[in-house]
Amino acid sequence: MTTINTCTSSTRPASPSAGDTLFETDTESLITYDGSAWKSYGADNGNYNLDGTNITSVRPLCHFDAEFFNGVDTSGNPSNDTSIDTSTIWKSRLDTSITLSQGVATSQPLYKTSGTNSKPYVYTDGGDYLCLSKGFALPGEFTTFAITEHPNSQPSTVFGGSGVRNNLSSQSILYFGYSGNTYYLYYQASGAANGTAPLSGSTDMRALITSRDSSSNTKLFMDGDNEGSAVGTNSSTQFIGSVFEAGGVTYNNTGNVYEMMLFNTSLSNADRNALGAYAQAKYGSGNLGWTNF
Amino acid sequence: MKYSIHNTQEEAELELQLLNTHFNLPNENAKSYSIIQEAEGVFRFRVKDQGKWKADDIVSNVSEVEGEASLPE
Repeated sequence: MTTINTCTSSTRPASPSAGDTLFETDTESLITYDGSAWKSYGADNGNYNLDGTNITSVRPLCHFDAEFFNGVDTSGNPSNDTSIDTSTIWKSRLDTSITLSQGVATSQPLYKTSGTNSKPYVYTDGGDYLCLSKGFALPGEFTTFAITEHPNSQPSTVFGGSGVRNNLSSQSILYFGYSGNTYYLYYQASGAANGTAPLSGSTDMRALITSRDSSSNTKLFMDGDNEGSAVGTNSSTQFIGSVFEAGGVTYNNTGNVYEMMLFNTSLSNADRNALGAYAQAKYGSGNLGWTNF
Repeated sequence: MKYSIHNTQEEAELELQLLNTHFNLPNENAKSYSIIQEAEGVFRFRVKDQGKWKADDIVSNVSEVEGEASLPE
């Protein structure tokens, strides 16, 4: 019987050879050295180990984390102010075949290497957006999670859009983000479902959750359980083909996005709180407020 | 955001083509410089005013346009 050696994300071999493969116990992933960097392959079901400490019981469809721009580790992070173009592609941490990129020069966000708590983020100026390599259909329950910093009063879509990406022109597109001082979610086919969330400061860091449950109630939460209310009832399939994009350029995101996740299920309170604990540990509890569910 | 604004689609396309030539597009970084939109009876495309795609100083008919706050269509 062949046994694969184990390590943790902090004890990977220092001088690996191409093809070396181990099981990483803290991330529950197989890792293989390709000659220049470690590539990580996680399980396609079961738990999602966010950081070695905080774990969700279900895995997201995608997780775009600016700190792991190449989807695997920090070795592939771009230089400061690098445009996210067709050669600089943001990869999901769970499935690196799911990517975000932009082919139009004037719509390319910038990669920033150090923001809150020295963590990297993606800066969008209100006219930028990124195209998903594949569109997502959300026929039932779903949850989105995002860590953002947003200038007050600017209309912004964080996650969601667009009708013309991935051949989704005739579909109902999901958007959520900010409309001035209102944190909103918008179902294209059936009208707006708006929640309210007061913003303070010019670029406060926020943890944003939207969730549609088994009763088709959609709720918006900001920084945990302090803004939750049923803001809409909609049971139609929703689609996402890009991010930061809505309403032409008039509702595109203005601000900083550190990471985004998309789940095809609603989450338990324990899972939501795991996301909050993970985010507070990463970005600092003094920078990111969180009220447990 | 800054836009190059033109009365006709043809004028906008010509100006955009000049920018594509200036930046040697398409290449591995971008398929095109910008996208022409029809808005309020004119044809316009975004122009960057900073970074490696800065072009507001070399393109014609540049104006600042405030983002209109309308929900997605």
